[in-house]
Amino acid sequence: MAEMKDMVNKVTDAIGGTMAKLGAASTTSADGFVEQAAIGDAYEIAAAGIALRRSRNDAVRTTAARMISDHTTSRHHLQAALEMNETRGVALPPDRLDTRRETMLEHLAEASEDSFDRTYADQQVLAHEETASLMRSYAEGGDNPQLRSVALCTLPVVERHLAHVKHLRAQL
Amino acid sequence: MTFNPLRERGIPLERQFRNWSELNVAPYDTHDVHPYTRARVIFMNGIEVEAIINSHQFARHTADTGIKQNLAMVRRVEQQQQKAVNWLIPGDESTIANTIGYEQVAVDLTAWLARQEPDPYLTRVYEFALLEDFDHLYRYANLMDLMGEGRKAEDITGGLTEIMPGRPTLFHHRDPHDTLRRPITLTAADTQSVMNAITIVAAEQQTMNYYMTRGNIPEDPLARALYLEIAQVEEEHVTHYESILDPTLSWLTNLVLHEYNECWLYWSCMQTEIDNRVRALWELHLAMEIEHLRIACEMQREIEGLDPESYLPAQGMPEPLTFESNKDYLRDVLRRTVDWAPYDARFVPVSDLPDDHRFFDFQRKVNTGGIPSEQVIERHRAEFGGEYRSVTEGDHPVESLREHGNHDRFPYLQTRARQSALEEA
Repeated sequence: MAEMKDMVNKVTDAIGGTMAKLGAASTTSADGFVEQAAIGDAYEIAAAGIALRRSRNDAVRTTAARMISDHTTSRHHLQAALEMNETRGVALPPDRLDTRRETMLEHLAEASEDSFDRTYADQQVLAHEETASLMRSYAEGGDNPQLRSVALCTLPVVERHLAHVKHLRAQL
Repeated sequence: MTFNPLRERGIPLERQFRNWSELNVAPYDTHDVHPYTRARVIFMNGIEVEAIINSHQFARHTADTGIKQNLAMVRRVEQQQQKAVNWLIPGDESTIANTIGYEQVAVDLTAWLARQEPDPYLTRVYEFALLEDFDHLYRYANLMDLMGEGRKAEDITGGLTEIMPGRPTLFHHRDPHDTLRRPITLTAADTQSVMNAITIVAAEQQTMNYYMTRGNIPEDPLARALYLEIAQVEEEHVTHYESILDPTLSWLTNLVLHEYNECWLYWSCMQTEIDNRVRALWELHLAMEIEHLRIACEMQREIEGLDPESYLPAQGMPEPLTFESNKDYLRDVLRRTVDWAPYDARFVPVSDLPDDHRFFDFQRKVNTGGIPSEQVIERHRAEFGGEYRSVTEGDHPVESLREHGNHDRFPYLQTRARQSALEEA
């Protein structure tokens, strides 16, 4: 029964993540970028917190700690960018996650002990593919120079994360 | 009052080289020079050093022989300019006396930039580091007494800059990740912000280089220790400020901006200098820089097909950069920001840092076994019966930083006490 639920949750996350990646690839408005980048960071930090509480795998725990550190940094850079004149008029980021990311966190929290590490790695690949797509599209065609700079500075880190979590998933 | 160097004519490059005796200028009188003339000399030396280093870096990153030739030609002149400026400093001005001058530059330059900065985030960037240089001035002023210099730090600063604690130096040492800020973009930032950033990077870099090379001159172990401790903070400051520069610029755009910046600064010095002989040097160098700018602009048009006038301000620079007293402003910054701590690119009250923040770990690593910036004050108290301060505007605005204030109430110390209590628990 638990295996079936894990499978359904995984499929749900994958469908949501694929759709989101397509949406991220066309984000060029400042408000949309800020919203998605902020939610992406918040999701990463929350998911890593769950992983640190639940996983006993050293590689997963090390990855989670890195995600908390790096996504806190990207969150701070986004917040700093929003304090600048260059972003005057851009909407502030939401103070909570969207329904899709909340659902992903619920799935992570509900994952059986046996499947937890795999679920975390699967979600990490989906989430970083989405974030890399968001950063790449906004860096190339975004409408605000300062936020394009945020995307440009963040993209290489996210791409390294993506390569790392793909490698992690392959090892599990 | 505006200044547009693109509308001026300079001295042709082939006429800019000077012979040795022209470069070996008579130094100023260390006991008679106006503090802000000394400040401009220290400052413009740093600007020339940055121009030279930037040109060398560009040359190492291009294969184009034509660009290398132009860079080599202009750079040789920049080297002559640096000598003519830096040789104004006399041999009988000791390292510690000159250091007081360096810190006065850091304080009054940063304060001016912070006051003029149009961007609120960048203002915070300047105000944050301002209180650290302000504290360095106080530590070095106490060291100066201990070194038997024979004159007080206020004789160097002329009483134009108060000398008292800022954010104490022992708290400047932080994890390098927390020295990185958010960069501006040339596209969207105000030209004043761009010029301010290039200016402060050059000035802080010069201070860093100065302490790197002169910090081992004193024989007194405490003096050597204080120099090395503060030299490490200057490394933080260069990292802090260079991270606000737009990292996406082409080498040629960067070169044009550097030359434009030099024009603005020599023009500023010329407008504000009270020493006629030194003002003549600023005027001569401005005429040289106008030609350096023209050459850089021409290279960019020819090589990149980009006209620098597309990103330089059509009206030029509105105001000269001015060395002036900033006492009231500094006191206001002390009241508002003395408890700030950086967390990545942001500034938060130190009490808001998470208990497991990397700042506390870094502090434990470097501050274990004695802190020179504290020891210098303790030794001054022991030898002179009190601290050296030069205060003209009343009590220190932060009660816990007064000489006889309740030091335990200083926010950083309170946060550290909370940390210790947590560790014991």
